[in-house]
Amino acid sequence: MARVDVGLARRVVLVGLAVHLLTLPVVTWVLLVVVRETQTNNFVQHVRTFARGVADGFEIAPVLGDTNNTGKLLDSVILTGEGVYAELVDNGHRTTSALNPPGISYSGRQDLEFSEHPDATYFIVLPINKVGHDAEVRLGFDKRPTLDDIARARRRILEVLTSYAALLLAIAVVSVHYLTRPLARLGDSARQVASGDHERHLSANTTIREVHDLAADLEAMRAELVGVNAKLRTEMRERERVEAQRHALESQLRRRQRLEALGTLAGGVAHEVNNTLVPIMLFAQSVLDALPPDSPSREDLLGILRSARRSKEVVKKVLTFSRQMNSGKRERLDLTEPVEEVVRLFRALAPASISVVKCIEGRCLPVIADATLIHLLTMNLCTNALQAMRATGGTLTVGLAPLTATGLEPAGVAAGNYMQLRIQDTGHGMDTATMDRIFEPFFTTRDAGEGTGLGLAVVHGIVESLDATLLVDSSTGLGTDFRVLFPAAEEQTA
Amino acid sequence: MKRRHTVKPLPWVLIGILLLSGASTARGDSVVLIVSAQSPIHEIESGELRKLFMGFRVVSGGVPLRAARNRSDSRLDKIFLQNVVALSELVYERQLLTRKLREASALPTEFLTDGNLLDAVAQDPRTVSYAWATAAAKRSDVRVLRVLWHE
Repeated sequence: MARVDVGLARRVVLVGLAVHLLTLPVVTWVLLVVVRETQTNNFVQHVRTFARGVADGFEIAPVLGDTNNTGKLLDSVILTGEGVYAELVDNGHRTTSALNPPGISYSGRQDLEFSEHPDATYFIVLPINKVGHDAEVRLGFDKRPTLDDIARARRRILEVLTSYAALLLAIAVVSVHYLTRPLARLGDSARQVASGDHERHLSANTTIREVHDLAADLEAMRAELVGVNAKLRTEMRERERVEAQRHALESQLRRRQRLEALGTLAGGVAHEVNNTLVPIMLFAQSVLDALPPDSPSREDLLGILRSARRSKEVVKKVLTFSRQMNSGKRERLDLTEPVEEVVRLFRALAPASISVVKCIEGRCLPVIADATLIHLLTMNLCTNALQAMRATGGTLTVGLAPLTATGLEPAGVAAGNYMQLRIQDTGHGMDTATMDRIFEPFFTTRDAGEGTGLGLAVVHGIVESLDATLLVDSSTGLGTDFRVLFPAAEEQTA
Repeated sequence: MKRRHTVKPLPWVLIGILLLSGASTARGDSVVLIVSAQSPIHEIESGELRKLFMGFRVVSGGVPLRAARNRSDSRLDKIFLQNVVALSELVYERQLLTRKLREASALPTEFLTDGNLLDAVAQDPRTVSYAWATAAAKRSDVRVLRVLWHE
């Protein structure tokens, strides 16, 4: 995998520097060579032409042998400003210009090409082709102006190229910054999208077409992914809801099946016990009636009758749970009256630490039920709530309100109109294991002798017999919420 | 094992020959103006010589002369440029090109070796050229007109 620790800006600058480090020395060298060649060529051309002219002058003009005129001609070489040294050797006789500077003399070395030698004078020696004369003219020319020109041109080239490199570097840095800024901004946005901010738009805010197109493509991709993500989340939530509903229904079904089996068993046993209790009570009552008032056995018989009656009450509750008891008189009923009656009763019975709140909302829809059973159901639920708050105190809320179920909520409840009876307490609540068994007959969390464990079983039996629905929600330490949904009568008739 | 160093004689001999030949032309030698031994030419003025080598028509004794440029030696070429045509190489080449393009003049023939040049000069009485004095002295069919340059 390629290294990614070098950013675009640094990479471009480094590549630019490398290219210029390679090319600039070559360009510099070429320019310097061209400058030098041009300058030296101009110098050489000039001094050769000038020297040839002087030599031609000596060949053409009759000055050889005339020391005075020869000196004047040599002086003119200096006076024109072209040469710095002039001398003529004619048949062994040497004549020099009186204007020759003191530090310069011909040493016998002729120059054939320009060199940057410290010796600052370029010497040309030309033979004079004249009959009767073995002569040559020796001329010296100052190289320093040309050397200065070359040096100045070199400095200027270096300055220009250095400035060019610096300017190019600055332009590269600015350009790269201009290019990478929208990319960095786009990268930040992309990272924020990746970290969960799916609604953040990916935009580069740039005039660079490629970056703008890239941002537009990424934004289109983001929008597409967000849409897909939202769809997946919705599907997932729906699946979870369906799964939870299915789980609740399965749990509810298992509980109902278990309670059904228990009801069948308990109902059978209760019938048998009831059948046994009837003759016991009849015969005990007959014997009691036959005994004289002062018979010592009367108290024993009265004890038998009291115990039998208590057993009959238990049997009655068990039969209620198992729905094998007569469910009473079914009629269109307004639940307000029996519920308010129970609330009044419990306000009187509840200890001071428990407050009883009635909460009746909306128009009360009639239901098909028996007032006695509704009374018994409400009593049992409120008793249960009081027991839960007995130690700590709290609030018992008895609510009654119409409710329209959608088929989705509450779970397991068919769509339609209902009257909801709600008993809430702020007691110790229940864990799930307890909640799973609360409707079983004789199941209780109270101490022995404090309850029969038939209260909620009776509630369950009544709810089932009235085709109502019972929902329980409880959290340990927070309290319990019982909701009984009675189908509205108008729905039933419809 | 001890290696025995042997000196290969051939490279050293070649280097020695080169050094000696360089010294022979660089030190104490002269550049002379030459023509064929049968040439009727006895003198050429400096101005005429410049004209000849710059491609102008030069007639001597009713005969048009031909220039042969000796390019066998770079030092010799520099001496020619400075003492004969008195131009820089660039300007001289430019002048020749200008003359060739404008006037279709016959430019100096160039020779890259002394032998070929001297043969050409010896065979053509109208040809004028220049060479190291030592080289010209070895040929009896070549005549020296005058010294153009000396050390």
